[in-house]
Parts: sequence; structure tokens; C-alpha cells
Amino acid sequence: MVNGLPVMTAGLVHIYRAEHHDVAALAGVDLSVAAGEMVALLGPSGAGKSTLLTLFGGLLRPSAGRIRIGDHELSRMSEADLDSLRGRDVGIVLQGAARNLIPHKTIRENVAFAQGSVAKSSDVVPVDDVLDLVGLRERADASLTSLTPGELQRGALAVAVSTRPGLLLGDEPTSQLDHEARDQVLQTLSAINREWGTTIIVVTHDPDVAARMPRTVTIRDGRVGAEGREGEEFAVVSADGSVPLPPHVLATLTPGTLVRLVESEQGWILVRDELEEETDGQAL
Amino acid sequence: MWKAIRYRGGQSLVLVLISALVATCAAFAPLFSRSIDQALLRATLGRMEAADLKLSVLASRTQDPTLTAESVEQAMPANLSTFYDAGLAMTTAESSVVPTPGKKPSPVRLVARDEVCDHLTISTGACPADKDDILVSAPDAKAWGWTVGHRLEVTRPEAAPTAYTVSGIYEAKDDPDYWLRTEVQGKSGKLLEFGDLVPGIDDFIVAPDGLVAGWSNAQLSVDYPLKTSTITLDSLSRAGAAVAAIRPPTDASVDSPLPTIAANVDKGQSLVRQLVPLLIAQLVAVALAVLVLVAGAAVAQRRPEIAVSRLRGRSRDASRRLVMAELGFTVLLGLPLGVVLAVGLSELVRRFILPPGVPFEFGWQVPVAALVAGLASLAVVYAAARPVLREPIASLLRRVPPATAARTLRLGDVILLVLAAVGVVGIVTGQVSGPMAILTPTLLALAAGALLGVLVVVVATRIGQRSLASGGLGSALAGLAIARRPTTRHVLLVVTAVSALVVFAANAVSVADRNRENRAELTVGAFGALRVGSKDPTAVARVVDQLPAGQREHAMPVGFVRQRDPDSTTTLAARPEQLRRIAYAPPAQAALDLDAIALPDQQPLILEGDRLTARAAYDLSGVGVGFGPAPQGWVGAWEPLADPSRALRVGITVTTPSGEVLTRDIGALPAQGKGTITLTAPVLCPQTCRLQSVWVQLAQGLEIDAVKGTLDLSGFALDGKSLGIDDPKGWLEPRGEATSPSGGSGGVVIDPATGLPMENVEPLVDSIALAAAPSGGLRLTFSNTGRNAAVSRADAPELTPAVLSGRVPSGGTVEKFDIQSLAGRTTPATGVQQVPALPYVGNRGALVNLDLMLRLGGRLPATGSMEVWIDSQFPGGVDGAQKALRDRGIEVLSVRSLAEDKRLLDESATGWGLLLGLFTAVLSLLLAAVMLVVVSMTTGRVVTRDIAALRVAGVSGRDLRRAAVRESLAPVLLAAVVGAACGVAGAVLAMPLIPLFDTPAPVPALDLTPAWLVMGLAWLACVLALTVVASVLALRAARRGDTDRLREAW
Repeated sequence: MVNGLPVMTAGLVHIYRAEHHDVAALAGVDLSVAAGEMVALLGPSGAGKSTLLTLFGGLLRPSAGRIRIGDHELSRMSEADLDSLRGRDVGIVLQGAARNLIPHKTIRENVAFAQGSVAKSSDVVPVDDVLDLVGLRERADASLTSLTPGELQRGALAVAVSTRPGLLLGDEPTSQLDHEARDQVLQTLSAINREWGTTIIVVTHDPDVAARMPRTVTIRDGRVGAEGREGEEFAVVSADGSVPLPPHVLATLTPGTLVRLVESEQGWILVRDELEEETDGQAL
Repeated sequence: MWKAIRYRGGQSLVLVLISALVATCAAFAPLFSRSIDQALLRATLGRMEAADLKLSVLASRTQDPTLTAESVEQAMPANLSTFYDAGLAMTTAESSVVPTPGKKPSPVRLVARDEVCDHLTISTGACPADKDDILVSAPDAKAWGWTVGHRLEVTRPEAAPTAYTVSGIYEAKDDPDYWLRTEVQGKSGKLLEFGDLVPGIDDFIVAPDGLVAGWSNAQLSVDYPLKTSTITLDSLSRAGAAVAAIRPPTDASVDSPLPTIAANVDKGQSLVRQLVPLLIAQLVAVALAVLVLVAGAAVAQRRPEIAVSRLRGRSRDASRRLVMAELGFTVLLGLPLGVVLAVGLSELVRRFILPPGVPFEFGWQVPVAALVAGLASLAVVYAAARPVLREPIASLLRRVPPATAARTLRLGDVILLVLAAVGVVGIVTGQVSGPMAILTPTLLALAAGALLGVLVVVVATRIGQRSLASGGLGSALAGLAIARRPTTRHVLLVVTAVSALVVFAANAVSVADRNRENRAELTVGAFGALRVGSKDPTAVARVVDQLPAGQREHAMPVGFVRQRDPDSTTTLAARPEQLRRIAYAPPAQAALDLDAIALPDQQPLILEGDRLTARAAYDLSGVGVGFGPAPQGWVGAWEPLADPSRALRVGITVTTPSGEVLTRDIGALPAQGKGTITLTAPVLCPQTCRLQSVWVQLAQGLEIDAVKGTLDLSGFALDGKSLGIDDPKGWLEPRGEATSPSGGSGGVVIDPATGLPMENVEPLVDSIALAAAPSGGLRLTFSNTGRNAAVSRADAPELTPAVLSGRVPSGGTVEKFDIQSLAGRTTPATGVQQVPALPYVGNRGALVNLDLMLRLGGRLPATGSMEVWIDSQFPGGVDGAQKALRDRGIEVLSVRSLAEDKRLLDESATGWGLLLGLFTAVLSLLLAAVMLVVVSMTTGRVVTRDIAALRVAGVSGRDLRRAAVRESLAPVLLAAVVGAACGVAGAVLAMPLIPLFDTPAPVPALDLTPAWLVMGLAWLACVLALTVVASVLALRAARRGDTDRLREAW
């Protein structure tokens, strides 16, 4: 049943080259997502979430570092192999449902079109099964202009998972949707994960969406800033030993603050240096 | 596929239409070419009469006395019947007949022709049945009293006379298709030269076997009328081959116009084959440029779909197939539509522009051309899709496509610049000629447009930035927008090319039309020219002068005398004032100096009477051996020879109304001595004469070398009535003197040894001078050795002043050369002006004063003719003039008219070809307008979003409208100006190389002055059309740029 693909990055760097300056969107991301896991990427705008997702989809090539999806090392794959990977193993849902669909085709036709690259394969999922999975069978032959935003989004999901990929990447799959539509989309994502064991990584700004995902990864300043598992948030030690502090802690421990790591029975405790405490007149 | 096409219906429609236009242009070219070829053939055939088109086989019996027309006919190949009607055999024989006893024999032709009686009206009697029967014409029967049964004896060379019996009296029916210009009538009542002047007699029609036996001088002919309907472009060569394959009997010759027709049509075809593709190629180039833009826009709109395709695992190739399938299919949909449009257009041209009879033909070239157009369109789509398909997916996913850098020349631009430079250099150095020159302005414009594209982006950026700094918001926004839009370069390129094309085509059509008009004016001479049958210039001039007021001001008599050599100078006699008013001035040359050929003020003296008298006072001395006083060295008694009392002839020269020049002796004087006598003599001018000159001449046969002295003549009177010509002012000053050609001595020296004359003391000269006699009258001071020494009346100059066109007649100089007078006499003339061309006679003419020619008198020779020229104001035009002349008994033989000659010139490969240029320009203008619409459609969303953003930012609606209009108009106007400059440059450079006529003009003086007004108007129309379209689209965009648009973007 579980056909999800694990995702692993190591020291992932991506730099956008602009005319007069370069922008480092990712500055060394180390992340591991297990097969069949559902992960939400969080973080402020410009943090690098979408870039990370785009790199997972093979739409961009990283400036440095490695990405492994299943057995595939993306940075070493050719364009044709990446095309093949996207056509079979990685489904992508772009932000804005309409961007995922060919406008003059119905949802059914879009799904069929997306299955084009695996159409001759024996394990191709029947279109109706895909439509059933996203709950759009009844509306599958309607024109796109007659569909609601939620239906369109589920349509986009249907297209993305039409080949039963091992990895589903979603960029803001619930944005611009009302609560009901959002819930339907989230239920659909869960169903996909449950039914097919697909690994799902979504980028979202929506805390409610994040709360309903088993794991969250917060990207901050191009790095993994924190992780949340089952509602509990953790700082993540990166490969160079640094630990990004959560924003509310950072408000207190401003950059330059001296701290000590003290081992206790509970584990390692971050203790603010006393000299600093006296100077600032503040307590941790 | 259909869903995809329907989804973007408007865009698909534009793609289909432009692809159809490309196909239309491509398919129209062969259709139009073929139609013009057929039209040329039809026009050529239509201009010729049946007689000109016939196939003639001519033979004589010189080698085979038994040869008959029928046997000649039987020797013809059977396949001739495909193209020719059955042959009309004719046998003719020249002979003579005495029309009535006591008369001299007149020449007469005997004619036996197939089915002749069916084409005669036999008023009395019957068709000849017996070989001795003949038909005589009704005028002859009336003139000579011939009746049915009358016996006529016909004489032929080297044979006994043959007696014929009149079996009937005929009148030939007017049936040009039968007679094929064989004239059996028309000689009766006219005088013919036959050893002496004898009355002419119409042909005798004999029975078919009437000329069989014994008529060894008979001429045999078989005429085959051409079935013009069977002659098409395809059959022309087969017909020519059939004619070429004729192997006539010995001594027979074959004459057919088909080779000439084929050569003319072929020449026109070769011009069409060059002109049409070159003109169409320009339109196709513009259409493809627009298609590039539209295809680019279409591909750009499909970026998200390409992205989705790539996103779902499709490779680049698979995505390319997807795009090409949709857009390629859309483009191919335009092909059949284009072919249908081309056929429709061709039909319109065939029905409304080309002459009737041009068949509709759909050759294999049409689908091939459409296929090539389709492939070209597909190539354009492919080229437009290729860069987009090569983009990485991440780039394809961007909502706003990346702007392309437009500040550098691309490869295509560089190629255009090189081609344009090569074209211009080629023209300047003479390496490019002919129809290829048509491409130059378009190449020039495309290169200029490409260059402009780069410059405008740079300049617009600077202007925008400066305006922004100085607060000129409208200009700033417009400048920056122009610099940013990727479509700016397309607009500049296409509008520049179209503007140049419009300006150049308008000029080419106008200049060509002007030159055809000029050529027609030159070849006709005036608005209309009616050749009359009369050979009497005076009579024709009188009739014209006596036309009623309202007509005579618009008509003029004109006389011509051609010489047998077609390259020789033709005399053109006309009245200067009428010529100036009615005839067309030859183009591109200095005005004719018509004052220089004005008639002398002196009126002619017409002698109407019997006897001329005058007083003569003389003082003469003779010169010669043994004559006069003793020579130097003479020894012994000197006894001079007797003084011949009538040594010096005195006479007058007169011209009769018929142009004859006659001399009349009016007295004789002794060779020596003084005295006064009265001269008197009959003038012998029953029909009046014009006094031309008075002369003296030493009589022949006397032992005297010369007579010198003075002769005072006065008191000229005719029948006692003074003529009033004693004043020397009424006479011409005689010119110089001449050494006596006789070599006679003025004085001699006697050889003392032999006593014989030894040498001339001084050479003798012939001279004559005119002065006023002391006692009144004329004093002639002369030395005469026997030449006629004349003093002429001042009513006609000694040398006829003439305006000469082309080269000086051979053997002459500009100062003195020979022309033919209207009487057909060689007449000395002097060139008062040399010009390239004269009306009608072109570059081989001498224009003289008609009235002067009339003073000299005479009937026109066989090579001369009289015409009446009219201007456009003549009531009723050419028809009215014909009627007016016929009503006054003047037969009109043929007519030339400006309209007809112009039409003939218009109906030519070059005429129609250049008209296609205008069509090309108009269609390209339409394409440019479509392009502006497409640009508006493709950039509309971005533009309206920009406007909306600026509106939100607080820019006023007025500034936004101004900016939108400026952004839209500035490139159009700039490109239109640059294009016009390219068009004008092309007009100046290329017009001399473009063939304006199928055949070279007799006078190659072309007026290639640019048609500034036409060019200006065409350009204004072009600019107006594009400005209106651009403004409307810009204002529409400005109106739509509300905040809702901005919200869409969010």
C-alpha cells in the first residue's frame, strides 16, 4: 500500500541570479521527510518555502547541496529524467488552481492529459478512481468556468495525483478557499495519503492547515527554522551546529546575547549568561 | 483540438485570417500571372483584325504553270483545321483593258475567289458560270456603260488578248472576315499611273476556272482565318508549331502573325513572371511579419499550458507537438480560405480589370503556392514557439513573461541591413536592374524599421526618464512604455515597411500611368487624330477652317509626308498656334519653339491673269573669248563676236495650286550694253499661280562665259494692273555667291606664241544681289554663268524653318538639310530647334508650318497623308469630329484617340503588374491595421493593468489617456515618417529601373519625376488609417484600465 517516496535534502542552497545582485533563497537546508509522511512547510513570505518546493519538483536545479527523492538524486538527473519523474512519481499542485489545469479541458480531460506520460502503463489508475478520490466524479465533465474554487482546487489535486505519485507537492493548496472548501481539500489530501501512502509536502500560510498536518517545518531565512510534530514545536539543530531560535525567543535573546548550554536531567538547557542579565536587567 | 481552437476564438480567427492572407497572396500570384498572360494574348488578338491574323499561303505559277490555288490548299496539313477555318483560295492576275474604244488601256486585276458571289451584291446579271464570264463593278459599269453581255478584251503580257463577257454587275459586301483586306473595289474613278495617267478600274471577278489555263502570271493565295477562340496560352505554341510544320509547294511562301504574337506574349509573360512574384513577395513578407507577431502572441498566451504540459511529465518535444498541433492546425485552416479568397480576387480582377475573354484557370501552381505559404506559416509558428518551449519550467510558470532585451540588433535585423545595403549599392552601381529594383524600397524600409526598433527603445527610455524628471508625466509614461513593450519593434518594422510600400507603390502607379499617358499623347499627337482620305492639304485645311464656330477652334489640319525608309525623317506640317493649343506637348523636354516656324509676314502674290508686264533697265557686259574688248596681249585687229541679242533670260518661277513649280520666261536681254525694255509674257496659269521668284540666267549654247551687270525691274503688272511688288522689302535677300561650276574664264590672257587664250584672269562666280533701284523697283546686280539666279518673294523663306526631332537627316546639317514638302518634293530646310520628340512623329520628325507648305502648294504623295487633330473640347469628341468631316465630304480613313491608345498601353503586362503594386500596398495597409489590433489584444492586459496601477497611484485620467495615445501613436507616426522617406528614396533610386512598358518607347524620354502629390496623399491616407486604428485602440485600453483590472492581478 505504501508507495510514498522519502525526501532528503542536505546543505541545500539556491541562489536567484538577478541583473545586479544575487538573492540566496535557501541557505543550507537539511531536511528529511519519510515516505508516506505529510508535512507542511511554514514560514514568512520570502523565507524560501516555495523555492524549496520547486526544487523538490525538479523545476529548478539547486545551486548547491543535494536532494534525494526516493532513489533519485535530483541534482544529477537529466531534463528528460526529471520530466519522467514528474510524469510518474512527483505530483505538483501550483498556487492558484487554474494554473494547474488546461483551461479548455474538463477535469476529466485534464486528468487524462496528465496521465498521458503513463497511459500505456499497466498500473495506471482509472480516471474515475482518481475523480472519486477527490470527490469530483459528478463534476468531472463540467467546463472549468462552471466549477467553484474548491472544486477547481480539488481538480488540480486530481490532476497532480492522477499517476498515483509517490510524492505530492502542494503550494498553498488551500489559499483563496473558504473554510468548507479548505476542509474538503485537506480531507482530499488526507485521503490521498491514506489510500495511496503518498508522501505529501505542502506550503501554507494558514495556521489551521498547519495544525491539521502531522508535521510542520518552518523555513526561516533560507533554513529550517523549526519543526512541529503533533502540535509541539522544536528547534532544529542544523548540520553546522546552529539552532535557529523561535521568533518569540529571539525577541528576548537578541542577536549577540551570550548563552550557555547546560546539561541537566531533562537534557540540554539554554542558560543566559549572568553578565548579560545584569547589563540588560532582564531575566530569561 | 477544436475545443482549444474555440477557447481562444478571437485569436484563432486572427491567426486563420492572417494565414489565409499569406495563402491568398501566394495563391493569387499564379492566378494573377496566368490571367495577365491570357489577357495579354486576348488583348493582342483583340487588337488585330481577322485579316491581320490570317495564315496566308502565297504562290505563283512561275515554275509550275499548272499550279492552282486548290492544289496549294490540298498540300496543307490537316491539323491546321484545329486552329484555322477552311482556307479561302484566290487566284489573281494583272492585265489591262481598254474601257471604251479610243481610250488608253487601264490596268485591271482579274480575281477568282472561293465563294465570291456569296459576298457580292449582283445588281444585274449573274455570277460568272463560264470561264469567259466576268463581273464588273457597278461604278465601272456606270462610268463606261458596260452592261450584261458587253464584251471586253483583256490583255496580258506575252499572250494574246482574251475576250470576256460581262455576266453581271457587282458591289462588294462589307464582310471583313471574308475579304480579309482583299479590295476588289476602290480603284474606279481614280487616276492611276500606267505609263500615263489613266482611269482606274475595279477588279473583274471571274469564274473559278477563269484563270486556270494560260495565265502564267497568276498569283495564287489561300487565306486561312484564325479561330481566335481556339488560341490560348497553351495552344498558342501548338498552333505555332502547326504553322511551322507547313511545307508548302515550291515557290510558295507562308505568312502568319502567330510567331510575332507568340513573341509579344512571351515578352509580356517574362515581365509578368518577374513583376508579380516580386510584388507579391513584399506583401507576403509583411503578412509573415504580422504572422510572426500574432504567432508569438499566441504562443505567449499558451505559456501556462506549456508549463502544465511540462509539469505533467511531457518532454519539450511532446510539448512542442502539442503547441504545433493546435496552432499549426489553426494556421492550416487559413489555407483553403486563402485559396478561396485568391480565386475570388482573381475573379474580380478577371471580370472588372482585365479585358473580356480571359478564361478562369486553376493551375497546379495555385495549390503548390498555397502549400508553400502554409509551410512558411508553419515555419513562422514553429519559430515563434521554439524559444518559449526551450525555456525552463520555472520561467514558464512566471505570471509575467520575462522582458526581452531590445537594445541590440538581432541576426534577422543584420541580414535585412546587409540586403538593403546590397540593394542600394547595386542600384547605384548599376548591378541591379529590372523588376528586382521593386524590392529595394521594401528592403530599405525593413532595414530602417529594424534599425529604428533599436534606436527608439534607447531614445524612448531617455525621453521617458527626462520627462519624468521634468514632470512631463504623459510623455514620461509613453516613452517608458514604448521602451518596455516587446511589440514596439514589430510595430516599427511593419509600419515602416507598409508606409514605404504605400508611398512607393502610389508613386510607381502614378508615374507609370503618367508615362503611359505621355506615350499615348505622343503617339496620338492630340486628344483625337482622324486620318482623312483626301490628299489635298489645302482642301482639308479649308474644310477645317470652315467648320462652325465651337468646332473649328478645337480642330487643326495636320499634314505628314513619310519617306519610304521608316528610319527617315517624317515631315509634320501644322499651324504653330493650333499645335500649341490642340496638340500635346511631348513630355520631359523643352517647349517647342513654335514662333521660330511662324509664317513670314509677307503675303503670297497670287497671279490671277494672263499677261505679266514689267519694265527692265539693264547695264550688262559679257565675258568670254572673242567676245567684248580685245584680250590682253592680243596682237592685230580685234573683231569681237556679234553680241547675242537674247543672251540673258529673264523669267519668273510660279507654283500652281497643285504644287507644280513652273518657270516662265518673261524676256531676254543682250549680253552687253545698256538699255530699257518692256518685258511681257503670258503667265499661263489658268488656275492661278503664286509668284515664287524672279530670275536671270545666261542662255545656253552661246559662246559667252558670263554676263555681269545690273538689271532694274519695276512696274510689275498683270493684265495692266500693278502687282505692287517693286519694293525690295517684299523679296528675300539672295544668299552669297558661288564659283561657276563651268570653270569659265572671267577674262583671258592670249599666249603670244600661239595667239590662243591661255588662262583665266580670275575665276568666274555666280552671284546675285538685290537692292532698290535708284529710279524705283528692284535692282538685281549679278554675275551669271548660266545658273538660274533667282530673287525669291519673301512670303516663303529659301530654307524652310523646321523644328527637328532626333538626329539630323542624313547628308545634312542642322543649318541645312532636306525634308519632303507636302507635295513630296525634296525641300531644303533649316533646323530652328532640336528636340527629343515631336507629337506623333516621335524622334524622327521635322515640324514645319502648314500654311507655308500650303503656300508652296501641291498634293500629297502616296506616302503623305492629312489628318485632323482635335482637342478634348471638340463637341462630340472623336465621333463628333468624324461626323463633322464626313458631313463636309471628307472621308475619314482611320482614327487614333488618346483614350484608345492609353487603353492599349494600360492593357499590358507592366500596366497590370504595377496595378498589382497598388493592391499590394492597400492590402499591406490592412495587414498593418490588423497588426495594431493584434498588438492591442496581446498587450492589452498588461497595458490596462499598468494604467490601472498608475490610476491607483494618482495619475490623472487625462495624463493616462495622453500617455496611452502617445505610446500607441508615437511608434506608428515615427515609422510612417521613416517609411515614407524609404519610399521616396526607393522611388528616386528604383523607378528608372522598373519597366514601365512592355515594349520600349519610340522616344525613350521618360518622365520619372516623383509624383509628390500622389505620394503625399497616399502617405496621408496610410497615416490617417493607422492613426485612427491606433488611437481608438489606445483610448479603449485607457478606458479599460480601471482598478478592477488591478484587482485581477492581485
